[in-house]
Amino acid sequence: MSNVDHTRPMSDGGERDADRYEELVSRHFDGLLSAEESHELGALAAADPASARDFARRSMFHQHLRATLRLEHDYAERIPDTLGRWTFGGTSAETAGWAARAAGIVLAATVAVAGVGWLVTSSFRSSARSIDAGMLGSVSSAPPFAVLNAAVDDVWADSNVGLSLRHGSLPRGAIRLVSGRVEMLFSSGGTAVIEGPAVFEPIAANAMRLSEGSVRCRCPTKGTELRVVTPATTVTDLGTEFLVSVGSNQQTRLAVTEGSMRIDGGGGTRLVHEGEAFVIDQEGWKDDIGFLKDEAQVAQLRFADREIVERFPERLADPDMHGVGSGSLPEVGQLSSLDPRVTTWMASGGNDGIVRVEPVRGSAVQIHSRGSVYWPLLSQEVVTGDIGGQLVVFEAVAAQPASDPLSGRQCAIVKIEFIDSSRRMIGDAQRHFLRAGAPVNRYVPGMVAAEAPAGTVAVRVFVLLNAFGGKTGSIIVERASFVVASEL
Amino acid sequence: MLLLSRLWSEAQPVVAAMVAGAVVDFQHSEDLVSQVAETVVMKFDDYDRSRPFTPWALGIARNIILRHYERRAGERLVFFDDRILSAMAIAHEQVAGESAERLAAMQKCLAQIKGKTRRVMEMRYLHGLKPAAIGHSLDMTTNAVWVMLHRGRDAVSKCIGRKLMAAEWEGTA
Repeated sequence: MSNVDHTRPMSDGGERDADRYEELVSRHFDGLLSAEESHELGALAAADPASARDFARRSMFHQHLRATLRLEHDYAERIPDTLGRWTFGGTSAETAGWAARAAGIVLAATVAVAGVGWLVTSSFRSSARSIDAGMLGSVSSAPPFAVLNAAVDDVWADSNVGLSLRHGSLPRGAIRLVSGRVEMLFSSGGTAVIEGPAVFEPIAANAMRLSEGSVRCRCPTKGTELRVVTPATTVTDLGTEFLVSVGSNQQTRLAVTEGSMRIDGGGGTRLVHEGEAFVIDQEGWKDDIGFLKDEAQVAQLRFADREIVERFPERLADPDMHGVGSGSLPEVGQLSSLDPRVTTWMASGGNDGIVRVEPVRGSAVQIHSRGSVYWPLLSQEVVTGDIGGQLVVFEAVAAQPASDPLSGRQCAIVKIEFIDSSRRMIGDAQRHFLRAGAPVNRYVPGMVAAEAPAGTVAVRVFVLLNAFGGKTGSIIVERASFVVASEL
Repeated sequence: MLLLSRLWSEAQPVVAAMVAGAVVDFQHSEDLVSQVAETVVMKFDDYDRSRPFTPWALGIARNIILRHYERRAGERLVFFDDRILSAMAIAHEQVAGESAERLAAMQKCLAQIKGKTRRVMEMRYLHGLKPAAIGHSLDMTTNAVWVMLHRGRDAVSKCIGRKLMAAEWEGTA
């Protein structure tokens, strides 16, 4: 009931309404109103546009309060100790640092809400900046047990979740991918390509829960293991590739495309081998060859083959970075498509964090983490003409220097964006590579491939440093290559 | 598809706030936002790209909230009718652009909330507990929990106001 004294004198009806509104709205967000009081609150809130805006601001305040607390908590909960296990409820200064970084991510997401979302969420268009970069300390913690490895046209129910994954973090709880495909890399070495709509949750270094949707799991080397827990069964990869799909009726479909796997559930345990497929529901097991026939279309990412890059003509200007000089890079987003410089390399706003380095061989560009930029980047746009339906491949060769290696969740990213004739971004694909802990001073390729959507007339390619707001860490980009595989 | 991805990234926090204002149970509101996202994807071909996206998504959210109310009509739920939800959708669209600076300040202001107040706020916002359950856990009355929540939020809100005012003063000095 009300804790406001309604018997006190009111100067006029407006003040009385305001007091009543204040009383109701402050209890509303804690679920303390009756249905009748809710009706009353709604009528007061919708009485005029100013009141409605006030209510909307309060809704946003509560929503943001919750998001901020939740992300702070996620980071604090998942700080790994020196043995690689997770510690819970840490209260150390490190915890505080992670909490600050988590809040920084929330803020970056909020910048997106404010109308510059293109900076950070779906496009990595430029160098998304923390609003309070000073709170971001050095990156020292190891990655979580599963990280985003690749994504194609991914749409997340909660954009904060997508943003967090792109940073190299792992949000707690079930994750809902509304559409698109993503690849998660587990600490065990296994990968899972998940196709939306899907609800999934990495639950260990070698296990994930799948409540809805399809996943293609692969364990590339002997000894790696990946388990998928569904409502009906637990599937264990034994050095193979397999598909699992969970429908809205919680029916589980399974198919082995390579090697074998173990299935626990459906009334027993059995080994399933390459070329076999089953459906498991309340009635038990049944053959499901139809699923196997369709498997090529399920949770599949386009392949990126080095031979493709070598077979087709190079489309980039200055692929060896010879023409890139310190301070001379135009800024991404500041050139029109008619500007001749648009076909050269561009960099993050203000070239922050981008310097040219003396070449190890040929030329190279070093992308630094400077503490205030989430994703410093190099970019180039290629006018391709209509390439809808064709496979495009972008590759960058990069190394982390011994003098300034990557740490924590930092990594390099290669990305493709597809542009239509209206200058709209109509698709994208990206892959993370060169993670912290990889050998230093060793150049490795990062490659991403995707089919250009219908209407594509230009492509933007990016090499990004997932800097995570760290004050140290850099990558040296020696070369890049972009081809359109028109004859595949 | 990326156009949708980008548009939804911009609209989602606004949609989530509107849903949270109309359905205060955290679990229900999260489920409803997911339903909005799925509907947006399914109906994206119907979206008139010459018009703003966020109001379109908010319209979908309004319909889904109304269906949610209908399904749970027998329960003691917060209930706004179509007219009120429509007014809320317009209001959320109007204030969407204000949130960035406020959240920047919230990060710092929230750090100043400590002790039992912080614990109560975490129980409410992290774990979704109602004041009665929090009170039971901490041996407090429901009203005492609500007062603590109210004061904690008020402190954050006033702190945000001070920081915004200071920032504005510095910007014009």
